[in-house]
Amino acid sequence: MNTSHRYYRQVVRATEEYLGPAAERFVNRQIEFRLGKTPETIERSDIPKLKEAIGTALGLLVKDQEIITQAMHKIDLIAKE
Amino acid sequence: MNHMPTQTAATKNGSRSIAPVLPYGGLSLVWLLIVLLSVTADNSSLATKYRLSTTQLHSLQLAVSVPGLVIWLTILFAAISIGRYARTIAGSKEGPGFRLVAYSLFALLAGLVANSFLGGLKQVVVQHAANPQAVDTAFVVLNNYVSVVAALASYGLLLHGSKLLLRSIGKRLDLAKKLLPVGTAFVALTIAYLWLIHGNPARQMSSDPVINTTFGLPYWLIVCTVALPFVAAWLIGVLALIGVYQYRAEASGIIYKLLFRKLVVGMTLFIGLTISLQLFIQLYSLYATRSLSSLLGIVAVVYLILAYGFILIAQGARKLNKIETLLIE
Repeated sequence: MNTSHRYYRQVVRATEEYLGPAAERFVNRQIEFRLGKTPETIERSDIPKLKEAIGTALGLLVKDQEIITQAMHKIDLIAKE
Repeated sequence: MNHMPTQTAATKNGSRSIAPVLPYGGLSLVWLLIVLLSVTADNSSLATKYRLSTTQLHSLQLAVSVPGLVIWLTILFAAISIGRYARTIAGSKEGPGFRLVAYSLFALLAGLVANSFLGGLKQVVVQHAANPQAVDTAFVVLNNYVSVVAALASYGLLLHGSKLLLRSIGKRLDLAKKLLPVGTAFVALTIAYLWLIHGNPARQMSSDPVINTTFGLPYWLIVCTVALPFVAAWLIGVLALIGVYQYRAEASGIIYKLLFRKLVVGMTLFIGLTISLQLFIQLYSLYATRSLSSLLGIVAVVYLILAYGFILIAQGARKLNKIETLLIE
């Protein structure tokens, strides 16, 4: 598995903990719209922008800040790998 | 840095056209036509039955019909909301499951509309019939069969939908620990229900002008073609609800499950109250009094809670749809 695909899969896996079956579609949409890339081509440098978009979107879906902070932390860990 | 959320093109266009309100307008028109059908029929015997003037009776008919319209509109709202969500996620594993849930609500609505239409038509046809008693009985039988078919269709679609949802997450409907309590409850319900029907003096024909005939059929035919199919439908409904709860419990996603919660609560009210209402209407004749207030009061309260349940379903579907349409610039 190449590194781009690995980052993508890791972000999807992390998001699945919060959005379940909707996670992959959600991440794909944010990548295509915000980054203008195909999901499998994201790089480590794209993750902070993606993290912001996901964090903002999650904030519109739930008011529980703890859940959002937790999700953002998991995505941070992917960028640090 | 502030990021602006935006809507997808589909949701933007939908909010500006009148197309979204057309189904509600159409359904309201159907309701109005059915009410007019009832009101324009010769209701003098009904007025006498309940000791009301014709004007009072017409006002009461209109007032009693309004909660029915509210229920219809909320069911339509829920069905369209879930249908819209199913369309948004078309092609996904869980899409087909949600589509069947939407269809189940449409089937329920179709049954209610059909029964209302038959009720209105009955009043017109009976007054011109050579044998009003026979025609009245025929309509009673037809109404019951329409209710049975609608219940079987609605709950059947919901059960199939819940099974597809479970399959989408690699699970199957798990009745291991629930089969005994649910089975026992339904055996008890069946026995009680059949016993109550047997004790209903108006089950085949009502000799009391105040009390309507409940089934218009001999006991054995009631059992085989109405009572047992209704119990089967209720069991299917309960199994469907178990499936929906299991899906929520076993699907991943903390936020997904939170957003799904309203849908589950709404479905609990929908299945629980429609079963209770069907049971109540079936057995009302046993406890009918000469006053309308007891029936109207109970039905009005149930209708209000039911409407709330359908609104919860719609809200749940809309929240899930939000996940699918949110874009951050």
